[in-house]
Amino acid sequence: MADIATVDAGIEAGAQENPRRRVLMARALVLAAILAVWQASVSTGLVDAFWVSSPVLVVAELWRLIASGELIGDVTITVIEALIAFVVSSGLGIVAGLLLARSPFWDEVLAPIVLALNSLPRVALAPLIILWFGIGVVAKVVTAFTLVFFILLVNTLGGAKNVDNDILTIARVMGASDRDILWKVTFPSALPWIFAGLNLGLTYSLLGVIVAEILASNQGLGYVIASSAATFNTAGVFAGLITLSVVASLFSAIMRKVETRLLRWKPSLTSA
Amino acid sequence: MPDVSTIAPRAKIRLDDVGIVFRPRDREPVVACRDVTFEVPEGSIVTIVGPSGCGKSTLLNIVSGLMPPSRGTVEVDGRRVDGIRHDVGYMFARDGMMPWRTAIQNVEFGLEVRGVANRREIARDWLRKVGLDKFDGHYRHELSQGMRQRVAVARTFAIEPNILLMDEPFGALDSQTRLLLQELFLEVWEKNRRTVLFVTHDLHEAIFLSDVVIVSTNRPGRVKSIVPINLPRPRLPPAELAVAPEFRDIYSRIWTDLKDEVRKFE
Repeated sequence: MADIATVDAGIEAGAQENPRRRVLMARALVLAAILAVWQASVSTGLVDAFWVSSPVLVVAELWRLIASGELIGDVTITVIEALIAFVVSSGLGIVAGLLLARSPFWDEVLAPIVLALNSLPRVALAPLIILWFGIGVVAKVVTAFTLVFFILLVNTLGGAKNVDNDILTIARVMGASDRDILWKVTFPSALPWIFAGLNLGLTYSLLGVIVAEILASNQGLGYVIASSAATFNTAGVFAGLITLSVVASLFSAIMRKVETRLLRWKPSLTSA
Repeated sequence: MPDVSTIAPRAKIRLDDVGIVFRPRDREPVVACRDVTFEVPEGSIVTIVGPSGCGKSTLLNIVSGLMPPSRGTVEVDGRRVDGIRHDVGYMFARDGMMPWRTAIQNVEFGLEVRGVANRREIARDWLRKVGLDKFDGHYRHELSQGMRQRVAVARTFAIEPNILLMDEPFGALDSQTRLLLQELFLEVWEKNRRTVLFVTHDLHEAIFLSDVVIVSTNRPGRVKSIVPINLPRPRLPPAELAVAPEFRDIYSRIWTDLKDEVRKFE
């Protein structure tokens, strides 16, 4: 028996490890191929580097930005703005969602208004926000807020309304107060929904901040991209974009870690 | 041991002329039950059996105060029920486990909201009594349906409820697991003999557990007959009891009453 078990385990481990390595290798190959085609089409003169830059030029520009210390300053500004926007908007959105879940009356009153505001393409508000709040941190946070607040509000409300009825009844007859119900039943039960909102919210915080920076700013990654484009520095635009995607990937990786930690009671997360 | 029927202990739960009418919006009102009068003596298990939809579960909701009766009164300990009672242990066919809490945290919940200090010990003790001491850290999705229902039993007893309301608590289990849990339930119940109002449509279960079986009519549910179950306690295991002649007499008596009602429903 023991022998069979070991053999089985061996086969399984091998079968799992091999495809993973193959996926990683294929991924690297795809990336290398894209970069090679890009570089080749510029080097052979097929496309003008003025418009599309090239991997070599982008790396050189990235290096220049890093070495001069410009990039780290811009990244810091954008990350700080996005995090402030994320924390404030998510916090208020979750609280608003929980409050509305407790008051069916206000939920009904506000539902169409929330829907209307949430359907509005918020980026269109950015010029107005810049007019009101200037080109500083506040305008960026407010722009992101208009996006993220509603995401969290809608998701939290959805989760809070979907609490299992049996659990609610049992909690009540066991003597749970309204406060207990909110924090020990509704909130944890809505947590998977809230996390779905937080994942989106983090991405949208960054989006809101970047849009505001592109429209009116003198610092931040959005500013790097916009000002590079304005001076026909395509390598600078790509350098900004690459940095941005690294920041965004880091954000979601951290978020996934936190989520797996806090939602380890979810079957889908623990088995994955 | 004195005979239950001769000394007539005081009523723990008393329903007097209870009627329930549901008034759904835009539809005809539905009379779920009417003229329901019975008592549950202190320390006994009384089971209501009846066809589906005869308002059995609703009666439990009324005793717990989750819902007011449309007419009549319900008393617990001689006092009228007029709001959610917090001294009730409630069990459903669905386990009602909180999936974000481990088994032991689920058992602790009731103690936690009551501010009991040594809740961890009490919960551990109850998990041991239901045979789950090794599964304290498991989440709901890591437990079988039978284990979840054991957690529900532990959770229900851990708060030492004044009365127990059981709404087909073993109804969702496979038949072997159900027998095991019925036995477990009685074993646990024997230790402190709380007053139990039980609802089921499993006649074996009703007879095995109860001191009194109340047969309900088809909707609108009324009390058709009240059958005392004079089998000695502690009861034999369900499988052995089922072949005893006394058991079969009681079974056929209740089934005769119930059969007509179920047939009307068909």
